[in-house]
Amino acid sequence: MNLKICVGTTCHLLGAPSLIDAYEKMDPKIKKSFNMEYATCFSACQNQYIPPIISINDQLFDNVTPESLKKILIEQLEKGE
Amino acid sequence: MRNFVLNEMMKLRRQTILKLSKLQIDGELKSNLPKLNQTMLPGPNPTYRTSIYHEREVLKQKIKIYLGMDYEKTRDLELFELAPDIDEIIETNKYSPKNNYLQIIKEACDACPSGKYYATDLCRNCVAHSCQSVCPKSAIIIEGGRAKIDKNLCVGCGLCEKACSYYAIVKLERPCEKACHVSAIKSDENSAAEIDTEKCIHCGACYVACPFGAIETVSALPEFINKLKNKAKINVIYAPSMISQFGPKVKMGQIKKALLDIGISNVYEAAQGADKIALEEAEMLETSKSMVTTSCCPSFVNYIKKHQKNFVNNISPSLSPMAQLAKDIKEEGTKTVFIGPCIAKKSEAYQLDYIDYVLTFEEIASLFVAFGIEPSQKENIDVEGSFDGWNFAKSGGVANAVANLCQKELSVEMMDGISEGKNLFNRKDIDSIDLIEGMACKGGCICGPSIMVNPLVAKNGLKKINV
Repeated sequence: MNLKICVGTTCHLLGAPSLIDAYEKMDPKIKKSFNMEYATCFSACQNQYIPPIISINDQLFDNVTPESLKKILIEQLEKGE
Repeated sequence: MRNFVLNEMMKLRRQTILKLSKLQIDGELKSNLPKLNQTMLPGPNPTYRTSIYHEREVLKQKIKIYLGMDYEKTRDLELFELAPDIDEIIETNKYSPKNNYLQIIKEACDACPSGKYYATDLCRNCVAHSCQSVCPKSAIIIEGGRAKIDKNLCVGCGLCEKACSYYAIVKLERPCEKACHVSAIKSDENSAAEIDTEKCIHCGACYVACPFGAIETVSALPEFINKLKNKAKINVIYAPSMISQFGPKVKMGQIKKALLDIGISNVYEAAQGADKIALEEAEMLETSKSMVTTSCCPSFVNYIKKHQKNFVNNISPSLSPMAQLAKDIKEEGTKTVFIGPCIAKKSEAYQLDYIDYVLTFEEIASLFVAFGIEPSQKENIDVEGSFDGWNFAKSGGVANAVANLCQKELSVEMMDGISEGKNLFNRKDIDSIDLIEGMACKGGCICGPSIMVNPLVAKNGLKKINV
């Protein structure tokens, strides 16, 4: 699955670095299913999405925290399989 | 090195600064200010504290500080009272904090217990009662099946803490007091924290430590935005610790370009000033007979001036890299702005004529967002300064740069964090040291109070700076 973590200035200011940190520290079993890359801006924060924002296979998730990130990833994995 | 975690308090601070900058740039500050604390915290349920009204009150005080106003001077002023003349207040800096850049918001301070010992629930009411036996003041009584410390008798020696096998006795310290290594935090009559300005060296340790976000630093951002809007000629100097601060996709040259795009006339690296200073200090050390302490960290300079008065004459006569560069580029009618992770720089700049504003990384990032500028999409232009100049940003970097340039073999010591100061300056062999590099923040500027990324990331970035 394609995981994109937005590292644009707004997301960066409001928590993207801690998401990256959390992702790096995650179980390799989870990480191997994702192809993580940094994105610059989904231009979603102007329309009601709350930063920090990530996308998984082009579906956006907003207001992500290090805790909710893991939950979202596992949920998506279960859905995908 | 500081453990960096983005917490809720920092998030709210950034969101508020972001909102304020956006409103100011769009010219909507006047109309939105009166209810801004309500807009930010719509309720009805509280987000951070037990009461939404308490939360809003604290945010109201913070908004005033973010708008560049002194807490004491505006404590009783409501936002709606300030709103009609807000542009004028910002322009004339009517409620200027003078040199007090760290302020405690009494409404936010939880008046945490300070330095007292408590017996907790972990007490198993053991047979030995070692705590009772070691207590020299017989302050421990056993009540209701567990140990209890009589506060009136306790002298805080800590013997009971060490004696307990169950770690049941703890010392509760105020985070701000614990973080402050110059004992500048005292209590006011309501036992809320208060800063002793005679002792404070503006390092910002308390600002980082307070879990209630009660300590804030007065911002110069609104005044700066006003100047930008009026198309004033502004030069920017940015600290080398800016490296990696804007995320993995942003290169230094892109930030430089982004700054030029928001209307800054010239952007300079403080690393250029650092190169000059390193050379100056190296030349001075070749002939100098006495010990020299570096002058690039303003908090370290304050520390010597206030707490190690015997060594005041040892402070390097060189200016800090920021000050040196600012002096070199100052022209009539231009404003000079320094961007860094530092609160002490604000007080250094206050005492100098050639720096007008000091902004933090958080504030600049908010400014980019408010202007709708994405640095990662800008062109990567050239940056100046040598590898050693850039590495002034981490502890050890200054000493290293000077030692590399000095013809003489130097005996170098480092004060990495204020906590090491006492031991270092009390050493008997202090006269045999040639150079003391002092950094108030453990790890250097990349661990400063207003950083945006983990210091380890920034440290890696500094290794890769190939200029």
